[in-house]
Amino acid sequence: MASDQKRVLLVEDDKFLRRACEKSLRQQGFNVATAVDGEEALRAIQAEPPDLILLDILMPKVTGTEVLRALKSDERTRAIPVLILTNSSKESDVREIEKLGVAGYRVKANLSLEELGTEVRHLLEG
Amino acid sequence: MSEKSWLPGTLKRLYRQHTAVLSFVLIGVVVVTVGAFVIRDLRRASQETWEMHLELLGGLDRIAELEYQTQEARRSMLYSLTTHDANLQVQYADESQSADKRVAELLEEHLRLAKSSDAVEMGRVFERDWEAYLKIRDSVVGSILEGNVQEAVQRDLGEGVPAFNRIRDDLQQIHELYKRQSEGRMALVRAAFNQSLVKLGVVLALTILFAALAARQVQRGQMLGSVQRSETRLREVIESINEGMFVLDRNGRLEMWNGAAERSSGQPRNGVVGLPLSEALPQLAQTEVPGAIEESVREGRALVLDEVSFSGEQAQRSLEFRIFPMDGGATVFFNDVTERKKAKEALLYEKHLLRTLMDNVPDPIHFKDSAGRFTRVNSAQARFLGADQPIKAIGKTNFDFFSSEDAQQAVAEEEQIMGSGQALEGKEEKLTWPDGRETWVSAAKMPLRDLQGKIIGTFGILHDITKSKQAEEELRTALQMKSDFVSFATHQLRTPLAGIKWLLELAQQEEGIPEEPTSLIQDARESAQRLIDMVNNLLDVSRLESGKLKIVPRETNLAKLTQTVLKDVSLLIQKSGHRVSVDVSEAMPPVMADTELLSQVVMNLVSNAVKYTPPGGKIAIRMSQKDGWVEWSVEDSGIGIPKASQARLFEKFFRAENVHKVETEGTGLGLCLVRLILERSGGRIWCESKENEGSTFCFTLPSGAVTVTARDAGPALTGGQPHKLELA
Repeated sequence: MASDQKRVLLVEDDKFLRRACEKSLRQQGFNVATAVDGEEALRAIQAEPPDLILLDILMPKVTGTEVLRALKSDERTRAIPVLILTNSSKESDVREIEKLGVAGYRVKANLSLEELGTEVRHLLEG
Repeated sequence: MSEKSWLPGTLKRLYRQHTAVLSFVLIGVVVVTVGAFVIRDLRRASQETWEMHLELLGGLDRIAELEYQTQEARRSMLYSLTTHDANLQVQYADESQSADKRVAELLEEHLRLAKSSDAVEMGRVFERDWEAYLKIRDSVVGSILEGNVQEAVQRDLGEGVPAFNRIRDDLQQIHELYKRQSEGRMALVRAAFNQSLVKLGVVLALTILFAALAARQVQRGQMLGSVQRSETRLREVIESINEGMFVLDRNGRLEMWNGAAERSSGQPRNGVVGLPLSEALPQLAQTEVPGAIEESVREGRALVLDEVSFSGEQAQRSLEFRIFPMDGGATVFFNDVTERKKAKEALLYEKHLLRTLMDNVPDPIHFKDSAGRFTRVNSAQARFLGADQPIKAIGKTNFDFFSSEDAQQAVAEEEQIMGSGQALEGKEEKLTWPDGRETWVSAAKMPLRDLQGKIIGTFGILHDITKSKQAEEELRTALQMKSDFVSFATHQLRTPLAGIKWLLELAQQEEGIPEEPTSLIQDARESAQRLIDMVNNLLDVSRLESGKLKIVPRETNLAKLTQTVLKDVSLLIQKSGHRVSVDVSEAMPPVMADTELLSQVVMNLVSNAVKYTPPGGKIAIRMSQKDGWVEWSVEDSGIGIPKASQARLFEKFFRAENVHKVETEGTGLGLCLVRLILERSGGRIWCESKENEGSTFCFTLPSGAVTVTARDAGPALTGGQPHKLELA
């Protein structure tokens, strides 16, 4: 598949969601790496920048917002598309995230794995 | 003043005005009359004198004539004796006879004219002596004629001369008599003259007296005139004043009653003057006035009765009386002070109101001078400042009570208010007390102007809002907590729900699962989705209520939106067998709304209509426009809504009593969400329904370019994808 080489980093602290999401994306043929919190995510990104980051917001240690801020402040990572996957819809978060610039903002509970796959494919190919 | 009432008015006036002239006329008449009498007397006296003089002169002339004639006769007789010429003798004899004749005539005239008996007597003596002499002479003449000269001489010497001397003595005596008589007469005349002089003197004295009297009279007249003038002026003044006035004489009878008194009492002057007060004004007798007049007269001091209540013809009136004792009587001024009293009472009442306000209003009120010193504070302000009495705050400034920072702030505000003349209203400020305590007040501070409008300070009213500030703060915290909780709960709920949803989705994708478990997994998915929708709705309601959900109004084609929604629920409609009609009036303008939220609205209303209508029902959707508004409605032939439920239909978690007839699902959030969305979009919703006949839900939205609270947030940020709306 064209996206075989492309790497997707899934940053998700909830293990059930992480498992379901990872499995579904793999099933759909994506190369998926995972991180359980922001800290790990930043390390992983520094080590090997992915082609797409699926980023949760509310996480222990380093929040998704902080991760996003760090990415956007780094020349090397600034261009990596980020799809926000969250269950929060706090306006303050939304505003800051929008300001920093993201590829999309999705509420997980309102999204099926099938829809997520479509979106990821779209983002990697686009 | 005593009046000469018997004089007709004009005469009285003439008398008053012309007393001097009349006095002069009177004196003139007296002087002229008396003078005339004196002159008459004098004239008469001088006339008599003159006549007596003439008479005397006549008598004396006659005596002299007699004397002369007798001498003449004697001379002629002697000549005749001495001459020897016959002719001469005859001549002398004739002359003698003629003289004799003349003597006789004179004597006769004398006797006729002689007034006094003495004169007559002396005349008779003379006549007798004269005749005796004539006899002697005749005999002498006879002797001569006889030629007996010697004898004649002897006879003449012996008899004739003595007889003649007697005549001469007689004449001498008559002469003396006349002289005496004349002197007597002259004395009389002198006496008369003196008498006249006395009379004249008396007249002069009287004249001087009268003149003096007249002068006095004139003076008095002048005085009277000036007194009269000033009295007239006084009367005019008394008549012209608006104050009622009357004068009581020492017998307590009305002596004067001015025009104002007439007008005020309605009693004409003629009807009351001369009467005792109690008869003239019986109403007064009931009041304290008579007693006061008596007291004033008795003690000789003025008295003032501020308010005497008086039953007038129409209403109760208040009069003020001022009583001045005067000459045993009294002068009384009175004034209708009803209006004044009313005004005074009104003023007192105003003061009372102000005092009541100041003493009882729980909000601090203060007045300050231009230097920021308290000039007046109410009880609440005193308590606020920690002073036990308002007076203790007077003269002090904010510096005496608050931190210097706060006091400085107040000074700056007051200067601004006085400088601009603009009030400072509804300003909330925090005051810090020296002990560190903080008080929140809502202050209204205004410029204080004097009666001329000049700004002389400030005044203000404070409202202690410390408690409400605290409550507000608590409420804010509570709302924040609620909001935080909802966000948290939502997140916390949605995360495991998303896990369930995704894991079920994965499970369903597993191959080789028998049909039964697959169907169970499908039900679990639907159930999970319903729970997710419910959480989403709850979140939407919460965010709409708190204003956190941003609405992005755009021009939206409502008809097209409705068609899209109908397509989404077409399966449901097919299953229920309803006939759905859509009626759109021509040239529908777009509505201003958030497209995604409006979709939820239409979806909710349409799916409700579908669900609550028994299979095979009729659903009619209509759209029309009017006056800048678009109206959308959906009518169904469903179970309807009981009247009791209609009012609460759009409340959160409310479900109509009869929804169980159809199904038991539903959260009671759908219509609440619909209402909130429409209201936040500037529209409104209502419902008309009859149980077992059907319901009609209508909403309106502004059409065209009318906007509502637009924000620049992107559509992706309003909560993600369009919610899959709960259909229950």
